[in-house]
Amino acid sequence: MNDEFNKLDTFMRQHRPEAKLPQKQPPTPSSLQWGIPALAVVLMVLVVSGHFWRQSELNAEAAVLAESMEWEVEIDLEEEEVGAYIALAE
Amino acid sequence: MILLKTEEAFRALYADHAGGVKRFLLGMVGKNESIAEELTQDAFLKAWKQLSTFSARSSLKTWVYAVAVNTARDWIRAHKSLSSLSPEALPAQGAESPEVRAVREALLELELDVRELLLLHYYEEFNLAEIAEILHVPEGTVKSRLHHAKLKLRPLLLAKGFNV
Repeated sequence: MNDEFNKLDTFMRQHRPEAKLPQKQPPTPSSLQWGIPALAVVLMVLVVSGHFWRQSELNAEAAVLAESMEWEVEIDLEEEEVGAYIALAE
Repeated sequence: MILLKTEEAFRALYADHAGGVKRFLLGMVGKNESIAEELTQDAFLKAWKQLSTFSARSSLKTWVYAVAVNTARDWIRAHKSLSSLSPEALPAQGAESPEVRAVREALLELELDVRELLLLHYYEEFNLAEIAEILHVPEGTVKSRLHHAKLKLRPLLLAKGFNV
């Protein structure tokens, strides 16, 4: 195939148009520029608010449990600690 | 770096490949430069939006050209009545030589899939494996199609007086 088209290949390569950059400015993907950071912010807000909501639920649960067991505990517990109390109660 | 999707990365991608992509698109649609420029911008925006589908197994260059091929096909489909350009209607592109213009005219006389293949091979200088990646066909298919494409191109150039 190479020999058969040698002359054609050489001719075509010698008559290849120049690659000129477009005169227009490159397009700006502005929607994407803003879209990704905005999505990141929304996700962060959801994660943070979810954490605090879960924390307050756990503290309330621990308070009820402590009261029923007549314990005096400071109601500001981490998730692991609440888990330990629940396990103890069960 | 390119996957960070920064404006800077996009500009680098554009600077590296926009000239070639425009040449390819001009060869495909055979219209004036402003249409080729619009299609080039369109292709790069599409490439940018679809960047998440880019697989590191292919090069970024072949991937951008794959998007450009689809952009050209879509445009031609949408402007079917205009796509059968007679060679006389082909506008001159700046300081191009009569031979370069004659080659462009000959390519425009070929079917779209044949033209597409020859442009990728001769103008953009992709090898068989790269063309296979761009067109999503096996390399053997590219080789055989290219052979037939050259058989179709040669008589057109001979008719224009070139000894090929």
